[in-house]
Amino acid sequence: MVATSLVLLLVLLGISIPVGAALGVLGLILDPLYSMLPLTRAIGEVSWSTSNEFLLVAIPLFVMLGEILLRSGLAEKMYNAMSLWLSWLPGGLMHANIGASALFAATSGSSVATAATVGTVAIPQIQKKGYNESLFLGSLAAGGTLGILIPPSINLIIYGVLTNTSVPKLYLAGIIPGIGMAALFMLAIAIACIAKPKWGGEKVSATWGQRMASLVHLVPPLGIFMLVVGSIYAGIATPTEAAALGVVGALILAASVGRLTLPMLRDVLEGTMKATAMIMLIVIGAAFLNFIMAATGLTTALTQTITGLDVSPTTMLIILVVFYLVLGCFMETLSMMITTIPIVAPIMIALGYDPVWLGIVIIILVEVALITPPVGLNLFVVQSLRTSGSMNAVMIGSLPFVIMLIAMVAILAVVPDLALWLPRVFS
Amino acid sequence: MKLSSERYVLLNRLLRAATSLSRLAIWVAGGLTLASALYITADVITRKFFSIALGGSDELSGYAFAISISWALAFATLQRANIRIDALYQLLPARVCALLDWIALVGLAVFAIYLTWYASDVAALSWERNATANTVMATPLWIPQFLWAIGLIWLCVVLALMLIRSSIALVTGDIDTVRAICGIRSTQEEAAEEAEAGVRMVRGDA
Amino acid sequence: QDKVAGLPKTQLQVVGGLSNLTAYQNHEQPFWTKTIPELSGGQVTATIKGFNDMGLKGPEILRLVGQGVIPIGTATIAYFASDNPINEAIDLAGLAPDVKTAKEITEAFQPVYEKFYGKNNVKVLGFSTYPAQVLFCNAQISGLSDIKGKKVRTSSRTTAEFVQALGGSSVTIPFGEVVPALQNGVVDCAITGSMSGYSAKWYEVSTHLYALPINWNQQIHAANQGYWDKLDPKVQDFLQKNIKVMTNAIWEAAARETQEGYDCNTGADACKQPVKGKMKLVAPTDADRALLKKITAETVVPKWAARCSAECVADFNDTIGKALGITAKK
Ligand code: NA
Ligand code: NA
Repeated sequence: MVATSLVLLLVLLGISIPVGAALGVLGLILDPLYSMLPLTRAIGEVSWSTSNEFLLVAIPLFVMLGEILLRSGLAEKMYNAMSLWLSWLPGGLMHANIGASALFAATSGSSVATAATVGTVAIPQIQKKGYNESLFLGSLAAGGTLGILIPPSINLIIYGVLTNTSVPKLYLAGIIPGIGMAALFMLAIAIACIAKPKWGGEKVSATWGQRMASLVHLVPPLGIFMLVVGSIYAGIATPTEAAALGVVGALILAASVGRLTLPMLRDVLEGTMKATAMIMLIVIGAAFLNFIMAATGLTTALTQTITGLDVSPTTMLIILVVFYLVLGCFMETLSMMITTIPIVAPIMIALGYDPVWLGIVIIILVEVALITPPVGLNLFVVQSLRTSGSMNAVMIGSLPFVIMLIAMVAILAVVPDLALWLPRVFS
Repeated sequence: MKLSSERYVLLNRLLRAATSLSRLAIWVAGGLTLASALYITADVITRKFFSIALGGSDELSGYAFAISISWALAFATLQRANIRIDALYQLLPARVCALLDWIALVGLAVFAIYLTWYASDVAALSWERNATANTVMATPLWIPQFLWAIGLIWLCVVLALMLIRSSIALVTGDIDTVRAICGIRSTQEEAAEEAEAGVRMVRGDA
Repeated sequence: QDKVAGLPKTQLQVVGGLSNLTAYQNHEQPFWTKTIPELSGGQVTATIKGFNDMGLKGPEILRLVGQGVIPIGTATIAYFASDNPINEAIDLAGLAPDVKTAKEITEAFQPVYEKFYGKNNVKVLGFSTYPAQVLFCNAQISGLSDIKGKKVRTSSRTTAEFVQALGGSSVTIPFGEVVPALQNGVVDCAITGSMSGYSAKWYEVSTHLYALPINWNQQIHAANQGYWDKLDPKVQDFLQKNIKVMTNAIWEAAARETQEGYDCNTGADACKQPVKGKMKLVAPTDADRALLKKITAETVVPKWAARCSAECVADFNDTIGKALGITAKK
């Protein structure tokens, strides 16, 4: 049963049926295969309750926030400021890619938006400044993944929804690992470029005066961060409400630099809804499949297979990592989270792992999934921003960052307080 | 959408009309989301700074969310924005890809039809039972559910048009048209559009 | 409970209540997976999953039971207030300030539900309850009248109307967000089960526990009529009898847990849990009980009666109304 379903899933995805539809169609197939009940009828109710879930309203709001920031030209200025500060390092602008991604992540809830925004600004620099294309693209894809670790984060919201964990606590827990992750990414770039100096490309030289002057461009993103994340801890807003505040803040920012026009707004709305509709099609497909899997006993079969192993918490953690690494190669991340967390989280929490800590670990593994082939959304995003070239360049360039992400999981396993210290201090 | 074969004038015209209508729908959807953001913000501000809150922002934005998704789906599908896995796809010859594109469209249509059918069922049941939300606002649920189902029905109409046109194209061996209707967006196409958007962004009118 | 021999081989699929609550863990799950197979000599077996583990939200469950998607299911009856206000009848805010009354009115109204759901292709198997839903406040509160001017997290229309009748404003936020909301003052109070609030550590972020049950979240146990009719009559008998035993046990446990929730949130000696809260227990006075009854009779019930059908109001008056001395007017 488990094997059949897995094979079916791989076939449906492999022949490139849209992911949301593939999950849904798998549900439609599994229902008559393993159940006497008319389970498919539930698709209406399941998709309605998924579609009007208030916490998920944060998704279009965060996408919209990113679209507005992108189109208001703030991202470009922020990127340039980062490049003045960071590009003296071995690897030059690639450090600016990471730095700008980390900063943009603090205003954006999604990895895709982060990669798209920073990527749009950065990619023209590859040829201009003679960088190793592959590593440069990899740093963009990987930097983008910080979008879901550094708060605000759509994926942390979804983890919170699925496990009944406090989203504000998860946000706090993501901050230190997020900064640490950015540092590890930079380390990877530095090591690579010290070993192969010609990968590094041309550096941007800057005086201290230029650097200090550029700081003003970091104010808008930090302002948005304060609005979106600060309002939660100030007790003013819930996470979804904070996202709405961010949208309004970004609109005001865009208006203040004279970029808020009707055509711009139209593009923002179109882009937001196109992305949201596609994400939600997957969420709906996954919610339906999740129901079918539970109702046919597939979930139980899976859980029993896992708990039947009867292993130590540490071994289970290693299994979890391998599981997500493998699954992450093939599955879109939101659908992966939505289908696996209801099974995985209870097992891990029963073994004594902290739900907040586990959330951060899973998010890092999801970040890996975003940049591992064949299915890695950030790889696609970065690829789609280029004018030419094969996808392979992005995939290969992302590999060093995959290693760093896995290293971060190991560090978190040894020092759980990296994630848990802030939430403890604040409560 | 450019169709290389102009022999099926009526069908092509229908598809273009559907695209225009879908574009309108996605603007409405985006407008709803923007309105949600504004209303939620107003709700937060009145709650924080005045003793009386507007209230209901969670409930109303939830409905707006559901409706906006379903209304946006048709245009996103016409734009081939669906997330598809091309690991195998990109290794295959163009003819096989065209077949896979068509199968992907069929897969999407199958899922969409089941979804739409039972979504309409949900709205109909709420209508029949006079169901109202379990909140102070007591919104009659058939209203948002009906609007939600309409978006899905429109998606099915659009999918049917796409399917008819691409089936003809597939049978007549017109691979370019199949790709134009339901292919995975090529890097070139994507890049052209990004560049266009980039130019407009630099000019400052987008 | 007696063992029953000679039952035909039967395999059941059950969707239970919230799987993180004790009603599921201590009663429903062992009942379907241990008790039923044991008592039937292994002839009747069942699988069970909490509805939340199936990705369901709750309000769709009875619809799905009616459609045969879920053969046997459990859910909070008040969830279905959206489909018909009759589902609020036994759980209107303030109606049952103690477990005895709650059980009494639930049993009095059960025949009405059986008739009502019979029309929707749903066979009612019985009713149980969660522990009392009470107020956790991160604010000084000494009685019901202190709700005036407070922001209270509610999760249903009737409790929201109740809070508003007291002069408070009702706020809806997800269960998982209540702790930070209480902590940061987004809300002053929140209503939940005394023990659920303990499990979710609400005692860490609130100071006063008001020991007056506002409502109960009674659970309906039901089966799809067609599915039920296809079961062997001997199996039907067997299940019906034992479900009665199970629901009675859940009622008793709910009463115990309500008290345990009071004890553990407030750090009383009676609490057996390793971690104890330090909340102040506010016991309701006679004046509070009188106010509760007044608000219920004069605001909550009339508002509800206005949205329920004439037949539904008449049924209420014949059963619950008679027991409590409240008459709803249509
Ligand atoms: Na973020
Ligand atoms: Na991947």
